[in-house]
Amino acid sequence: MTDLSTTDQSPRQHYAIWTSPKQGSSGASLEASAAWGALQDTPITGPHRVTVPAVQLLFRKDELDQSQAVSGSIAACGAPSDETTSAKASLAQARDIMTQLAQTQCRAERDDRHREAMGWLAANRQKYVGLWIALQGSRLLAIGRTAKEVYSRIRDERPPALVVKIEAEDLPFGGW
Amino acid sequence: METLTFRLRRGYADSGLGIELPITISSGPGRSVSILAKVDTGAACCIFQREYAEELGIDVEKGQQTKFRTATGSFETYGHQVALSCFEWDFEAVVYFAQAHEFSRNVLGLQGWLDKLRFGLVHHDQSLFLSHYDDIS
Repeated sequence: MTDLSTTDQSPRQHYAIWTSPKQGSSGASLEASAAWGALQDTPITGPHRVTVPAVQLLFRKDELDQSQAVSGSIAACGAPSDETTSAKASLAQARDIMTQLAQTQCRAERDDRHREAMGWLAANRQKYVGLWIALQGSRLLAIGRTAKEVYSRIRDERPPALVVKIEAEDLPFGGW
Repeated sequence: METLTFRLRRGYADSGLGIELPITISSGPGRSVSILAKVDTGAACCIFQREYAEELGIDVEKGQQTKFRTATGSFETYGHQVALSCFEWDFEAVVYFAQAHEFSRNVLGLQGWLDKLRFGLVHHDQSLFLSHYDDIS
């Protein structure tokens, strides 16, 4: 018998404010900053201790699990001892964490766009049989007889639009 | 009793079109296409329409020439190294682009896609379970 389980991370359409947990007053406090780019250029002048103000990050609820995992990582890298961990190293860890967060958010947004596009296709595909189309989420960007024609119309589109040829599906696909 | 654990679950439409997934193919910085491809456990490799290679700036015929057979004949393709991105995973893979413009399928097969992932399917529920192979043991 096989038991299937999953930690489902499907994006949902609800938002929540998530505040990174505080590390307490003793020791250094490193908390996620949405504008981590600012941290990049922060000169490290003092010896070994740095406090970055707590910030609030806007997350979707489905990202909370990952956010909490990240906050765990932040906790792990917080309160560096003077002997073992420099403030510089802690900042580098925080940057890595923020990069991971940015990637997670980017992927969640891409998932949302794909989900919308699939919904649009399910409802509208029959109207465009034989044509190439470009979709950004549920927004139809271009229609053409060739892929080249469609791509030429969405050259500057970022992120790249979903481009598909709509095949006549009057017969079910029999594999190869 | 065996237990399989997956990182994510995705539903798909039972539309008779197969299990279509959105993926991104990249050939280098700033050169990406977003497409729909069908999961095909019967396909040896990942095979895509030629038009996508052209948009990626790939010179199709400079790839590794490979012929695939089907139930009714065969077709020519050319293999190229690209980056595939699907859900939360990115990996390098050799994929094949059809020589003919008339070729109208995009499939995610065993080599290059299924061999990178752990894959579960409950078609009765239109549910797909996925993890990267290295995510869990």
